[in-house]
Amino acid sequence: MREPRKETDGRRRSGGGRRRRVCKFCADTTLKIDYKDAQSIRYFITERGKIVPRRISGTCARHQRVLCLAIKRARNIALMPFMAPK
Amino acid sequence: MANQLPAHRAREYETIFIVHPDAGTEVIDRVAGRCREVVSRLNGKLLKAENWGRRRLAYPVKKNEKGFYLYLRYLGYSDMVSELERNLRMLDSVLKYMTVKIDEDVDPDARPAREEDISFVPRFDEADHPAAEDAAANRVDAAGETKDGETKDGETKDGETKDDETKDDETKDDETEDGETKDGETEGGETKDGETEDGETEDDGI
Repeated sequence: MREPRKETDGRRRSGGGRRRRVCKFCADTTLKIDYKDAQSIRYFITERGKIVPRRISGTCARHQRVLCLAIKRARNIALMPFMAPK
Repeated sequence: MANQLPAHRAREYETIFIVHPDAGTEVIDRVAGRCREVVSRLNGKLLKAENWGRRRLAYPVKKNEKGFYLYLRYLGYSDMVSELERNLRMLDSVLKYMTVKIDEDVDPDARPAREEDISFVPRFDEADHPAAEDAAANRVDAAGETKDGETKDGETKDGETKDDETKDDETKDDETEDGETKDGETEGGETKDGETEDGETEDDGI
């Protein structure tokens, strides 16, 4: 199973080695995106406080929209940084 | 003061506000009392009130690095938010506030206001949440390394340990997947490339 996959996207894999990622929130529907829970959203921001793009995090478009709103709300009430926290 | 909704339908809102870190219990009680008064005066219904304790802010607000977070959830009509926020603005000890509409159309009778949900006693006393450190711990966790640091941070807060656990599980899954691909690839060069993060980003963008 591994071998053919390596062949089909060999170009991709030689440079990046990233598998197709599944949206975290689609995979586990019990996960709620809540701006109050900064701890769990923190996974989706970079060290500098930027929102991690979909192509990196693998989040689907729908959940990325929700997540984006949650991050912006959390920023607004100082639960999350606008800029580099250090 | 005209209600746009019929009298038996209300909107559900939640408001978070940050109180000055040097505020004592009597100041917080005064702010809380003011909020309760406003909500009841406008025929609203306070559903939940919490004090998250003094937490580190992600960025300084009015030159304060910390602040008490207070959380309110309530039912109200169109005049509720403006009146409540007007009152919060008048209180000097309130540094920042934010209101979010949760639900547009609620039957007030369907949402019981339970007195035990309303408390302005800090849930986590004096537990500071250094945002930077938490972020760092999470990133280490995301990289699939030391779980120890994560659990240590998680201990400060009861409510969030559960979240941390689930996150740990997922990262663990990632790890095993990584292991698999690494095994599958016999050429050493490829595996090495696969681990550099910059390569990943660029590659995915194409």
